[in-house]
Amino acid sequence: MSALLDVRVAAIRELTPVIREYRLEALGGALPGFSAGSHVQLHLPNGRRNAYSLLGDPADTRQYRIAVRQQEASRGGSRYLHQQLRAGDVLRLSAPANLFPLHSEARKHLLVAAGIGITPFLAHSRELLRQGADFELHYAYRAGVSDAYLAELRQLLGPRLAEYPAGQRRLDPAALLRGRPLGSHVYACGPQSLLLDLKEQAAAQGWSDRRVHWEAFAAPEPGQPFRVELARSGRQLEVGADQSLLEALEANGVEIPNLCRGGVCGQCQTPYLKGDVEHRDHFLAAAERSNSLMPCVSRGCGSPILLDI
Amino acid sequence: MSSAPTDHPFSVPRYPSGQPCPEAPEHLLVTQGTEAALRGTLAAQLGAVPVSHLALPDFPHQAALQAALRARLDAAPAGLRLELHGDEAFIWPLHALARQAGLQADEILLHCDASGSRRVFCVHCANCQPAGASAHLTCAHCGVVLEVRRHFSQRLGAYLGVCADADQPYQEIQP
Ligand code: FES
Repeated sequence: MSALLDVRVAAIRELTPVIREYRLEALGGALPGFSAGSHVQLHLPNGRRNAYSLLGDPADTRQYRIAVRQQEASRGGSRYLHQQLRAGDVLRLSAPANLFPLHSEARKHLLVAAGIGITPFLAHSRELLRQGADFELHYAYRAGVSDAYLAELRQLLGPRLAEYPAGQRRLDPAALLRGRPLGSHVYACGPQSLLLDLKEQAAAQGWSDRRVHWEAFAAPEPGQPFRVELARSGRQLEVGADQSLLEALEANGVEIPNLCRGGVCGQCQTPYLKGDVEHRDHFLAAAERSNSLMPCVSRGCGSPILLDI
Repeated sequence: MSSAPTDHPFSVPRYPSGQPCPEAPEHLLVTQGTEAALRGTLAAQLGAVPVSHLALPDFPHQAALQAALRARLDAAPAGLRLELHGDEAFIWPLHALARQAGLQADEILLHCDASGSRRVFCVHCANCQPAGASAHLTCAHCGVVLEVRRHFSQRLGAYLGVCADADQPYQEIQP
């Protein structure tokens, strides 16, 4: 695991009643550079580790910026950030990693964001402008609630920005993709339903999967508590309702490599020997699910899970 | 994670390389021969998907076919699938052109006539040349006797040719 960074919360800004921006600066020296689309994991004092996209200009390494939406079903991460974190507080971060880079072969970039899913595209937009690339940003939001950075984006992007305010204009993935030139790639960040819809429409129009890139920003959803046993040590763990299996393992000193903590990157893949698993990830192939799970999102749903670690 | 043992080197392409896509807005077939029947078979297989065909014999030379393909791809929507039929020396330059035009590798289907010509890249003088199926050839450009390695460069559309006998680079291969 790469070293952790200590940062200070330099400023907190309310963007909408439910979205806040946090500016983080290094305690000493500069922060590591990052590429557009990167995220960092925040290590919160309450034991949570959540991943957030870096939305600042990648050229600016004096500070990192993230934006957090208060989730109604927060397991403690976004609630902590919104209610307890103050300017001046110190936080630990993992170094940036990028699971959502721009595709080097793309000639046209279609960026599709819903709500807080806008965050990685703020960095992407700056990068694409700098490259003089051909791109469009399609932004679905709820006016006054999840429309963070709208004014800034209008100014920055002009006609490159297409807006879909809820209740007024629907974002239709089929229409968005139809008739695009051969060098097109689409990037999406937003709720599950949007990602699935886009993937499905792309396939229905003959697009190779390789043209479709997405980031699931959602933190793992809570569920029922369940039991886990570690086959090699015989240890038994109880995973709480609002805790992920990965978090429970970490709380017990078992470190599993991980990057996205959202079931997409594949880093945390772990073999299991028996038990009923509700998978919830976007990584494993159907055949792999009988003996592998992704502890960042997968949960038990019946008989205890016996992990092969 | 398990992978079956194979003697198929990673870089050497497999043919055919996939299946026609019934969701594509358009299917473009490019053939080295006339292949009159092929278009019909494909159209029947694809139902409502429009199929168009560029055949080398309809063009004065290969460069003209390439220009026509380029023009088609520049006007084509994402989702178009391309199918190339011919020997390796024919399909790979078209493959490179299509990748350049924005097609993803898995949007290009390759059918290869293995009895035809392939290309070999001489690592000593950095020239490509046509070759048959033989494992050895004398480089037409620098005269070194080459052993054709089972390593394929998609970018060059050619197999790697390396000096067969470093002690006697210019000697005929003895049977
Ligand atoms: S950490 Fe990425 S899939 Fe679990």
